[in-house]
Order: sequence, then structure tokens, then C-alpha cells
Amino acid sequence: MRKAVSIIIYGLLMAIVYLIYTGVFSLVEIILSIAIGLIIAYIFAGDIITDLSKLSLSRIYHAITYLIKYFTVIEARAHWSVIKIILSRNTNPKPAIVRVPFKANNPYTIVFIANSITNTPGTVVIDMDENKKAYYVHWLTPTSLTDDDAYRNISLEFEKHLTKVFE
Amino acid sequence: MRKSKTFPVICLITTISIVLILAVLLNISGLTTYGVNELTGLAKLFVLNIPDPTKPWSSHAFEIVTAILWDQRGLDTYFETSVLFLAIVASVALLSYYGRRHVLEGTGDGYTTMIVKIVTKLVVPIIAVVSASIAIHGHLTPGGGFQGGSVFVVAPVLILLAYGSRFLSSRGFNELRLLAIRALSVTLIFVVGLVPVLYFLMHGTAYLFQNTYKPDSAFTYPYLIPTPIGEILTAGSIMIYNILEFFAVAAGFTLAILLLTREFERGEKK
Repeated sequence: MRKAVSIIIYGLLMAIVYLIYTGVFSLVEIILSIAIGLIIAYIFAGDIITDLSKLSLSRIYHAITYLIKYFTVIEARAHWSVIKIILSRNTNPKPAIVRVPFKANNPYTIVFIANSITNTPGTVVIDMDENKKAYYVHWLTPTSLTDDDAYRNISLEFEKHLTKVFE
Repeated sequence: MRKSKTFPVICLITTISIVLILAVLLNISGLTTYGVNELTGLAKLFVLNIPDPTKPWSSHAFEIVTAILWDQRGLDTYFETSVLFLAIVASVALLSYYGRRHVLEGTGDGYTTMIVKIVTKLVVPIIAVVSASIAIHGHLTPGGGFQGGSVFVVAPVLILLAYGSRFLSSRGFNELRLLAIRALSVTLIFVVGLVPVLYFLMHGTAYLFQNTYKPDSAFTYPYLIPTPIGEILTAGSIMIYNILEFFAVAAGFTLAILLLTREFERGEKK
């Protein structure tokens, strides 16, 4: 029963992806998209949806607000700081690789924090240690090399929002 | 380093002037246009006849390249698919010789982090959905069976790199099944091409790999199916060929890459 529900939810999501890619919204196309979405979901949904009981509207709300904030405020701020470095005559910003610990347990949270760090200019996750619970981040303008400072400066904001979505 | 406020301005001016000079040069040298205003004879023949349902030689398909591939030169395309099939069969014969004796526990695990695994897991279904769309709309938009199948193969490649070959096998993508899908699809393509010949033996004129009706032949695959929810344009047999070719290419390439990855994994173990 639980498996069937997760297949249907994931199948409908895939149907939306299919429709957006195809760009045609006729009734024939919608029926076709749902059929293909369900076939794909039958193969993959078991691997992707790990705990269906966690699905709730508040999590979706947090996800959407985080995405909007991330792609407007956070990205703009990070881009601006890197633009300033590019346009300044200082060609040696002294980058460093720092260890950034994380407290999250869910794999999706961990991966989305890592991708949020990488996608903002100036910081790139180059490796991670699942046992020691730490990312290794290349940081263009390090202000401090200690774990706690790196955590506060790089990933605290991402982790605060994403634990509400996935944990 | 000497600091100056004018440096960014100089950079900006240099960039803009390089772009402008390149644009002017390209326009003067004529590299931006082909300088051709008319279609040549052969192109005109195809462009005017294939998409136009009123013409006697129409294929009832809007994607002219796919229509040429499966209708005007269908037999040729079939042999191309067969050549690919033989290549896959040869590589299976070479690579699976050892695979039957050694039980393989080789995996890519330990080489990839959780980030690669989770992102692969999320991207793979989207690739599969998009490839299905490319294959199904091959007769309407650029794309088709081969293109859709090739796009699909990216998904197994990602899985093999992130999770290793055992994961793929455990999800039902084993050698024998992939080879069976591949062989069945190629056979069905030929059967669909052979149906007009059966018509020829029983009723009247028809040609091998014929798609829709021709001036001297009444045989036609249904190219516009009316249903209660709307008309489905199938462009005759082109849609069937595209879907079968999608399965053939997807299964064939997946099989080849699966076997190659196993070889690499065995190399790592030694």
C-alpha cells in the first residue's frame, strides 16, 4: 500500500517533468505522460522515496521558501563578493581548504547542503567524510580556519533551512 | 601590485571592443550566413512532399529527417540497426566468456561519495522520462528512436559509475534480459517492415518497409487514429519503428557498457 502510494506520487512528478519537456498539454499527451511516469516510478520510486510518512505541506512550504531565498538573496550576496574579488587588483585572495562539520543525518539533507555550498560562488565542496561527518570545502576568502568558524560562515544557514525540509 | 580604479574600466572596454570587432569581421567575411536563398532540387522534393498530407508521396510526418530514415530509406536503416546488433552480439561473445565462470562481486562502492550517489539517484529517472519523450515524438520534433535510446543510456552509465555493476544487475538489468529485449526489438522492426509484403502476397501491390499509401498501392499503416479524447498522429509505421528502435538501442548500449564496466571492475580487483 505504502509502496503503491509512493509510486503514484513519484509517477505524477515524473509526468509533470515529461509534460514540461514535451511542451504539449493535450489530453492524449497527459494520459501518455502519466503512463510513462508510472512505469519509471515503478522501477525507481523504491530507491528514491525512503520514508513516505515524512511528506507534509510544511516541508514543501519550507522547501519553496528556501529555494526562493537561496536563488535570490544568498546567490546574489555570494556573486557580489566574488565579483568584488575579480574586479579588484588583488590577485592573491589566499584561498584555503577548510573542514566544515555537519550535524544532519538524512542523506538528502547532507547532499543538498553540499550542493548549496558548491553552487554559491566562492566555496566548493571537494570531498566529504561520512563517518567523521565533515565536508572539505575550498574557500576562496577564508576568514578563519577553525571548524566552528567555517561552519558558521559557510553552512549554518543552509543547514538551518534544509533540516526543516528533509530531517 | 599597483592599485588603480581605472583597471576594471579598461577590462570592460577591451572585452566590448573584442566582441564588436569579431561581430564585424564575421559579417564582412560572410561566415554568418550561407548565402543560399533557394533549396536545391532534392531538398525541395523532400521538404515539399513529406509533411504535406495532400501530396501522393507524403509520409504524414512533420519531422522530415526521421521520415526519410524510416520511410524513404527504411530498409537501409534496418540494416544499420542490424549492424549495431551484430556489434553488440560480438562484444557480448567476447566479454561474457569470463563472466560466466567468475562470480563477480565487483562494485564501484567506496570510490564515490554520498553526493554523487544521491544526485545520480535523482537525475536518472528524469533522463529516462526525457528519453521516452524524445523517442515517442520522433515523427513530430527532432529526435527519434536512436536519439532517445542514446539519451537513455546516459542513465545506466551514471548508475554504473556511481554504484557499480552489481546495483544495475540487482534492478533487473541483467545480460540475458537486455539481450532478449534487443533481439526482440530488432526482430519486431523487421516484422513491421514485412507486413506490407504479406499484403502484397494476398491483395495487391505493396512494398517492403512501406509506410503509408502510395499512388500505385493502397496499403497503409494508420497515420491518424481518431479517439474519443483527440486524434493521435502516428505517421504510419514511423512511430512504431521509433519506439522499437528506442528499446533496441537502449538495451544494446546498456548491455555493452555493463559488460565493459565489469571488465574494468575485475581489473581493479587484481
